[in-house]
Amino acid sequence: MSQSDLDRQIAQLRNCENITEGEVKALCTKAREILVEESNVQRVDAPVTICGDIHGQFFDLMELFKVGGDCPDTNYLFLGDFVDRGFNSVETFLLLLALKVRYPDRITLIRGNHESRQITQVYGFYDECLRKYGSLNVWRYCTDIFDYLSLAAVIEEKIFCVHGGLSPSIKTMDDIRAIDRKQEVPHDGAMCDLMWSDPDEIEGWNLSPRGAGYLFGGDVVDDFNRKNNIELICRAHQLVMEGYRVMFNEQLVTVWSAPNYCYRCGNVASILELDENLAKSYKIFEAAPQENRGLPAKKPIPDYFL
Amino acid sequence: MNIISNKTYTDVKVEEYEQNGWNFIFTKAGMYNTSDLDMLQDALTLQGIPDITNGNNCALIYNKQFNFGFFVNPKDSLYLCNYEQRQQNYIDIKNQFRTNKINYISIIPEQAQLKHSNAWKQKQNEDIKILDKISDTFYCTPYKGTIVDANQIQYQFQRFKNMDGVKGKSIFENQLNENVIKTELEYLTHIFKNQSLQFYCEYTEEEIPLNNLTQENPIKWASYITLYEDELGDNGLVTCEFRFRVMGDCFFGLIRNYLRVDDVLIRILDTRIYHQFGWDYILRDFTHREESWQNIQKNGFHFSPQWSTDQNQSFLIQNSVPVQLHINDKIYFQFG
Repeated sequence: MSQSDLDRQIAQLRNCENITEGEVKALCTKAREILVEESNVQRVDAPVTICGDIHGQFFDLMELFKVGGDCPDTNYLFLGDFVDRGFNSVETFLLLLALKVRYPDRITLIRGNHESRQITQVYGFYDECLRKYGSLNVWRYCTDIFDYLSLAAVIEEKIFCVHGGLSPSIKTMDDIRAIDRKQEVPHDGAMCDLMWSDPDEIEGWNLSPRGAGYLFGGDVVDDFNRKNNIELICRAHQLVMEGYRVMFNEQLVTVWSAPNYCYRCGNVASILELDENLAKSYKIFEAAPQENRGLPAKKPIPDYFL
Repeated sequence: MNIISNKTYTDVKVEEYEQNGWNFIFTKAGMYNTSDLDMLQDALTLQGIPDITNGNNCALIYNKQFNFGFFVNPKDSLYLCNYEQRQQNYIDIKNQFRTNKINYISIIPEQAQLKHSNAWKQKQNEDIKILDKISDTFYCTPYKGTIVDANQIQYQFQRFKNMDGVKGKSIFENQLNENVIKTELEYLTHIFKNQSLQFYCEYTEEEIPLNNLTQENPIKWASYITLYEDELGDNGLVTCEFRFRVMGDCFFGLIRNYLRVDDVLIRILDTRIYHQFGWDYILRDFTHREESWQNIQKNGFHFSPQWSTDQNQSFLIQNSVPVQLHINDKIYFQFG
């Protein structure tokens, strides 16, 4: 795959046009070579712009680039959940992956809980691949690549970035480095927790009242940050109406980058820009105007419901 | 923070219609922001609150002659996610036959559990606490709508009027604060404790005449609101919504609480209301449907990716989920 091929594919994907199945296969092969070299905790230099969940909202990702600048001009870190729920998971993920292959040092992708075979079969990506390509090959290539994505990132050794949150089985960065990440997201254990757990106004570790998954309190964050010499945990995973939410004396922030989530929530989105001194600035953005997106017609609610 | 206060809330839309002495008022607004969610969760004594809580979406069906209102709104609905409130408001209407504790519920739903919860429980150790559960974190509400009298109607109308006043503007400044929450709580405590002197509910075997709800009976007016919605942290879906229509000779509404816990169960709690103009009561049908994922599959339903992303999924699956409880009552407007 030549650089001009890749540039053409990027241009195509930027227009929300799909590349061929063969091109996806080649792209994934190339991406794997790059991702396999990355650490579980990928080191990232500042300045960098951190982005939360995208969820296949391709046209809103274009808004994000308008606000944050284009890659490679801006150095990006995406916290996972590229796919599912939105109408353009395929174009969204492939564009980010193509950018990764083209500019490996200017964009970092880490894994979210939706980058999983099981979850994508329920929440849309599987179905979209099948619809757009007529076979499951593209879904297989992409989900195989998911297994190679880093689990976390650390910016200038000060800012710890992860999709979901902490884990009771992880005390230090080395505990994350020890994970064999090249697998489907497990149902429990350290790797699962990094992608699924949530902060909450509680003390210590709690089992979620729904029976699975962990919640962690401010004291846990305090402890983790002190032990690892971390100033801030930056995570995504939860919808925030205002685009971001700061918790625990500014020791943790949730960044959400899918505006008007699912095309009906009415929330704004944000990205977090860190300059070379790690000074923070949140940029808020809204969903792309309706006319800029080819929205499939909404199914009418049956009038004569019973 | 100017951007946020101007843009976060979508405008309040008020839809109104009048027919045969009844007023139908629906308000539609955006979801609550983080601080409002936190405040409401605390006020209702809940261990969680749906991510998407449309705090100002509500519906009022009001009869001036009888000063009778049937009100549907997310706060009342979520109030019944607290376990204690459920205990205090349960009545077996078939057994009791008649009650003037009009805002009662007919079922105390069992708390659901996520797919791998048994495995998670087994690996517990002393470092990990398990909180006492005080509320349903699957937001499966047994809410059957709120019956309100003149006083509450006045309070609600005031709210509607206030909302009307900000039509076309952001309502961000008009959201929850300690005073609003206090009034809301007083209202909630009152309506759920209330022994009405005017209205009562009576058990009935009468069924809603579905043959009067077909396309032969043209729709004069219709509306629809979502009270709340939550993705259960990517483990399923819960929605609570109210669909409503008025025909020439009657009106019909459906409050649906739909719960999907992936690989575990489907639960649907439906409250249907029907009134033929001229009746002195509303006929209400409460139906609880529930079945395990496994059994639904065994009985031939295919859990496809298309289905799980379909917004009308509850209507597509409902006939594959058997009825567990079906109980009807009549809500009378005055002691006859």
